[in-house]
Amino acid sequence: MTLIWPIGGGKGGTGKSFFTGNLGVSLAALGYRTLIVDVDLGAPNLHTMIGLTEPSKNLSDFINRKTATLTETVDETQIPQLYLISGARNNLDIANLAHEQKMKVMRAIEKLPYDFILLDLGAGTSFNTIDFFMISDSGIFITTPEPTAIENIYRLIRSVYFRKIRQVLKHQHFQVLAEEASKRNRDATVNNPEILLDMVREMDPEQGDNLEEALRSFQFQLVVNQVRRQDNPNLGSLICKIINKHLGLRIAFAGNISFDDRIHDAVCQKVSYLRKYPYTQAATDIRDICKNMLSLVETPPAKWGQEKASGSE
Amino acid sequence: MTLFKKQNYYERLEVEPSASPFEICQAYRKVLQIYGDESLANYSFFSETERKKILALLDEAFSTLVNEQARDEYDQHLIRIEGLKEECFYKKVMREPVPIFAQLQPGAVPMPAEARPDPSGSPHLKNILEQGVLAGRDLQQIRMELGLSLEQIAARIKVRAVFLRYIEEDQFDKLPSRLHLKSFLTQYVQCLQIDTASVVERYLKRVRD
Repeated sequence: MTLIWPIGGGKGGTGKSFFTGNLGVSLAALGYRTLIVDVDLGAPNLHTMIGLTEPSKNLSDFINRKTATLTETVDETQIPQLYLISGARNNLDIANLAHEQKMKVMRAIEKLPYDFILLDLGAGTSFNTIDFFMISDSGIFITTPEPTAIENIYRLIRSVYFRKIRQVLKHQHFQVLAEEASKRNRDATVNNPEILLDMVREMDPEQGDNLEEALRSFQFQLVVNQVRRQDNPNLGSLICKIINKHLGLRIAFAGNISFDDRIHDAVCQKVSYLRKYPYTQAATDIRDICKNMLSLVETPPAKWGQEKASGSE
Repeated sequence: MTLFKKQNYYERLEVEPSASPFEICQAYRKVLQIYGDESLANYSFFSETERKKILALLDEAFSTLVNEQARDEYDQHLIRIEGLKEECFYKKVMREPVPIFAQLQPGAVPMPAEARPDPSGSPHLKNILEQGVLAGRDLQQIRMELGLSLEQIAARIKVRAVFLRYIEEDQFDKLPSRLHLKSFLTQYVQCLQIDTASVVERYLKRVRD
């Protein structure tokens, strides 16, 4: 079984690519066959995070049918068990991907044979970003302890939530609901998707239960990045509490990553931080978060090597 | 918002109906971390008016539950309207303090404080207490009269019994110092529940002379 984790952050510069790359490195180090995909189509730089400055292939090869399958666009990295689909030399117009092409990419991603597939999403809450959250029941949100980032993470989570409701409800039902909601409260659909859930419950209790159950089946995780000493280390769990209570979404706090100037150094040197500075606080934090995330997965995939070994016996 | 309005005060603060006042204060502090003015976690999630309303609902819950009388009335009200079980309210599960001294120190026999006779009631003790100067022997007599053993006092005041015996036998020089003498003596006399200051003074008179 493959687990797909989209990683999004709302605001730019919160460390999405950094975290995707280094989570990939730690999963690979634990023996999981891991693929990281740069779907920040407009501004790809995941490859730089793991020290691959000039990947030979990229995602747009598949979109433009230069390659027949997505598998052909996978690059090996210097790290064993870690693979990359880069966006390094994507066509410049790829940022505005048509819906059809996006669906094609998503379907192809789902079929790839890996233990973990991490999707590095772009900033913002455009369809290009949100749609990739629809591919999976889980997802990782990353923020920093600053009002700007928190504002955007709430916006992203609400957008994802809103899309999930749309996904669960049938199209017609949703239209009726959205109209009713906007009658009652002008901001309802856009700013307060939680009102929708209340209304479904009121109008059609059975549908409300279904929807609630569907929303409960998602398991999101939150990471707080760049936590300095003066910051409140409980911020992440407080945010999760609010989302849990007021949106009814399951979201678990996976951990803090300490602020570290050496991360800047590692990025400047274009090498993986975890490999360059494995014994720093932030590196330890990332490995701990990785373990936390694995412990939240109900059935973690069998490690690729073991699977193979047991198969050959 | 609607969430909070429907909830009872205990649910708003996320505590059990049996929570102690201390737990309620802690729970209130916790919700302030989420919804309070200083909290970064709620930034932009609620509109300002929405958050103020939530805070008002939480304040309402807290101010009722910390006030013993108001809480009692509210509990009664809850029992009436919601049919909540009466047994689980704080008043029902609250326990009185239990003496744990005896359990923690199995060797120490607790002093039967209430059973002790009032020293001023006995004419014999009265005679002793009226003396201008008191000797160790006199203290011993008072102690015996009250039915206390040296070991009991020693355990209570945490001073070795042998030192107390020196005091009763007037062997001041065997105590570590004059300061120790005064300190041990004071505690010893306090245990006898007689006028400590004056008795100590009359005993120490002889030491100074």
